[in-house]
Amino acid sequence: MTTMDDAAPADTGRSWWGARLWGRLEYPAYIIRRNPVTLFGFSVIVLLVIIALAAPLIATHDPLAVSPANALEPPSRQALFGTDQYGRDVFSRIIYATRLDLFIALTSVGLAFAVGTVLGALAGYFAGLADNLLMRLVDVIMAFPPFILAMGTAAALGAGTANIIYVVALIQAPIYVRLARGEILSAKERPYAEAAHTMGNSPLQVIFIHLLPNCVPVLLVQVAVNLSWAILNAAGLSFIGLGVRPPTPEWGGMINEGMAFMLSGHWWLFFFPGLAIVITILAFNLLADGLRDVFDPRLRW
Amino acid sequence: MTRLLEIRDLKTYFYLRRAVVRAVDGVSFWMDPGEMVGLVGESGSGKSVTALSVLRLIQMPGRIVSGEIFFQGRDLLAMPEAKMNSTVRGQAITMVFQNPRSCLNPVLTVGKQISRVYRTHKGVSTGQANDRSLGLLKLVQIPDPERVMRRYPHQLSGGMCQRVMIAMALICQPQLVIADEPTTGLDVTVQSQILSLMRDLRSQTQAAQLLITHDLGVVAETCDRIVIMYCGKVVETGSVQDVFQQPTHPYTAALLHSVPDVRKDFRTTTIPGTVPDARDPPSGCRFHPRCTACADICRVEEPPLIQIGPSREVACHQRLGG
Amino acid sequence: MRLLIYIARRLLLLIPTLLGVTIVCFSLVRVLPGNPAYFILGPYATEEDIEQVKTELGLDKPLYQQYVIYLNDILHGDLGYAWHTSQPVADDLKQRFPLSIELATIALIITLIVGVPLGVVSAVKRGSWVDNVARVLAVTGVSMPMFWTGLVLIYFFFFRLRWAPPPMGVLDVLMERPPTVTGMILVDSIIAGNWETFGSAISHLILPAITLALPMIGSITRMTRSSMAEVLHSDYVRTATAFGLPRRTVIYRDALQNALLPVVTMIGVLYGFALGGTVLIEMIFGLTGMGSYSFGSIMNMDYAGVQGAVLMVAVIFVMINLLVDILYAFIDPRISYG
Ligand SMILES: Nc1ncnc2c1ncn2[C@@H]1O[C@H](COP(=O)(O)OP(=O)(O)OP(=O)(O)O)[C@@H](O)[C@H]1O
Ligand SMILES: [Mg+2]
Repeated sequence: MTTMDDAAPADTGRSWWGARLWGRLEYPAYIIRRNPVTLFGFSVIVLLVIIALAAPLIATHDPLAVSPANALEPPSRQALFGTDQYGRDVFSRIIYATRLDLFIALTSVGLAFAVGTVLGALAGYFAGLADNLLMRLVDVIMAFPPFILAMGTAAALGAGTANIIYVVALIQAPIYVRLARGEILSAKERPYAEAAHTMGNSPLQVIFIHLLPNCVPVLLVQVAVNLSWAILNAAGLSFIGLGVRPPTPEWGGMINEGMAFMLSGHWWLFFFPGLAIVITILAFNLLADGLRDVFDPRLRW
Repeated sequence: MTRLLEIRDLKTYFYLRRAVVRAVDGVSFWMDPGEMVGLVGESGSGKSVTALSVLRLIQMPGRIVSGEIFFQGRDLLAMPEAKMNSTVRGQAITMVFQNPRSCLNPVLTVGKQISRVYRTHKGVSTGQANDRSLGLLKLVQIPDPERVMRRYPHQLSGGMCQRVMIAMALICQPQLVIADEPTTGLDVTVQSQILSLMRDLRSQTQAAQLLITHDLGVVAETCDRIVIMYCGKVVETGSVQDVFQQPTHPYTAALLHSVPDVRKDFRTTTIPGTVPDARDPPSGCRFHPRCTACADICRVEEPPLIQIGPSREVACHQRLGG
Repeated sequence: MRLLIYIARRLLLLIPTLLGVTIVCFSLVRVLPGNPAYFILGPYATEEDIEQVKTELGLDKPLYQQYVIYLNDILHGDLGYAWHTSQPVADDLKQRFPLSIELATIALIITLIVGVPLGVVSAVKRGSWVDNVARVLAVTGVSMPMFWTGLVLIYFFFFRLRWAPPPMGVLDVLMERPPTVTGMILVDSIIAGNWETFGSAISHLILPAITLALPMIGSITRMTRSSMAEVLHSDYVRTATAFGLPRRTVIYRDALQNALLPVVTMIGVLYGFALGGTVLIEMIFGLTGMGSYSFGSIMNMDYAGVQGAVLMVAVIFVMINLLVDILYAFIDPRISYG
């Protein structure tokens, strides 16, 4: 059956990153506004960012303030989500942890995106030996189950926020390498690439000004998906003691600490940080689904 | 005499999120037994949707909104789905699609795909169905049919796959074969082979054929009658001879003029203006923005399809040549 | 025959990947900052021990020589010595691995049994309430961190309802293991005909397996649904419908068979996910498999253990992916074995 207009990308040769990017993002922006589920996901993310930025204003207590007298209090009006074994306010800790978890997710995905896309684009454009080596490296990284590789590397690097970021970026970068490489490989064949080249642009200009901006939408869906994985993996690493060190509040670490008190009935210690993770990841997934809807309408969810 | 097929005022719309596409918007035409009719029109005029509507193959978000489709006096649109499957589809009316390679199931062998149609409808044993399939592969002039039976579609050329589709379409001796651009996407030499095969088969099988095509030359060579569609509507029908010699609708005339080379696919038409958007068709006569004979009435009132001769109909306020 | 050649070719191609995997595992300890001897011996090592290990490992030699030694050791089944269990790592893994494989496999089976039909129904009845429920479940499933879901399940089914056994071990406390044949408790129970241990093991494994399966069910449902939806709109499904084949045949033969092809390729990915998940799950449910072994090694700064476990999981993962590829080549006639 004939389908509707296949929305062929407008292959005009405007050469401004900003203008081109906006040209490609206008439609997604429109979809986000129209589709209620996507809009919900997007709003939750905006809300989370606001919470992260305004953590000191929203938190009711100092997240690190210990108060043994108030230890293990169940949720109440004073302590919305109860208090932990040191009497610290769980709600305030979760609010502050939003900062850290979002920061880790954004920086690790940003790092993976930047490094992966650039390497993939260069490899796709120039091909040859370096491309071959890079792809073998990608194969090897992908030969490991992601969390296992993250765990092994984190264990070698040692615990700590910065290391978590590197590790999570490491397991995600191959995806961007492959995506960007594939996109560039196919974009390279299109007439406008040839045109840009004969107009006297250097290869780097062709890649980064003319070709890459057209691939951004595809990569964008991946970014949304990966943000959710990043949070899962970072929290998971902290949960097994390889991530953020206590007492810094972090969702996975809080669940780990709370676990010991579950079987004495203090469920709020592990429950609420987990809920925060679920909500955050759900929001990113809904957003990713919405974006996928835009770029791949046949696989609509 | 009952007509073989009679379509009356068929409307098939696609309900998209942001718009309704009136792909087929009041199509009427008929076919007699054994007749070969050409259905032509520019890309997007609703030919495929019409054909699919006959077999009720329109999928969500599309829907047959109204109209009647009589086949040998029975209303296909009122028929229960099960009866459609057991008496019409694959037996009385069959269809040959464009892009034959994607129309065959990639994980089943060709032989299996042909014979299961026969088995389903005739309730015969696998052995009998295989014999019959082999016979049909011979009929459509496939070399070494025993071997081809065991092949998967991806191992055959496009032309071969189309022959397989045609064999499938003929295996239950249908009264009507609908061929939707059966040669699009094939090599030029293969195209003419397939078309001459279909012509030959017509005399051998007595099945009527509805041939959807862009190629007026093919229609001139093979068809008895022609139905011309524009933007979801029939604008003119008649015997090939009459219509080609004396077109009465300005669109038909423009079509005939725009094809100096009859072999040329008229997707690259030279009629000035563009095909209107089926989401928002023009008022009145849909052709009026591009029409050279456009009058005031054409802008406001939709011309009905009226009979102007034996088996000759046209929908135009400003008929050419009187 | 051609399939055999294909398999042989794939096995050959495996060698560079596996070499790459060993290089990564080697680098984890030797190239990254930190003292390998310290990693290997743990925090309680004396100066002399460290010096001795340094010479034993040839840490004064160039890196490539060290790698050759490492590779040679691996090929001889020597994965180093885990000081926190006082055993060779290879022995530890031999004891621990079967349980993890068992857990991951059960989770995968649950995933396929639940997720595939759910995705199919969801696609076939697109827009119905089944579809909507399935979609919500699926997206929620993939959004739940399993180290949290596991705790929630334990809290409800053990702590509150007392339906589940305590999250400690794979058998009830005083129960004796059936004789070890495969190391997998369920399989060994069946071999020994011991239904008591079988039942007990099932009751201990079911919650962790469900925990592990939930996100996988989510992703396989989504995958199946979109694959099935695409196939249902394909030209060949339209052909089958146009030729009057019964709807059941069209959906469950033409469509499903094709729609499952990409789902098959997912199995490898999911298995990797499940193996990664065992680290978290076993720790929560008190199971002594490879996952809790890795965790224990990390907690004790016993790097040989971590390294061995990572290598082992990667090798298994690569093998599973190979099997999946072969299975795929077997069921999709379009794959040319060339
Ligand atoms: N599944 C669908 N969803 C939405 N719109 C559709 C769908 N199928 C067809 N249409 C629309 O219906 C109109 C008629 O399409 P149809 O395929 O019948 O044209 P056609 O005359 O067969 O053209 P072509 O010569 O290109 O095959 C077009 O505007 C098309 O965009
Ligand atoms: Mg068509």
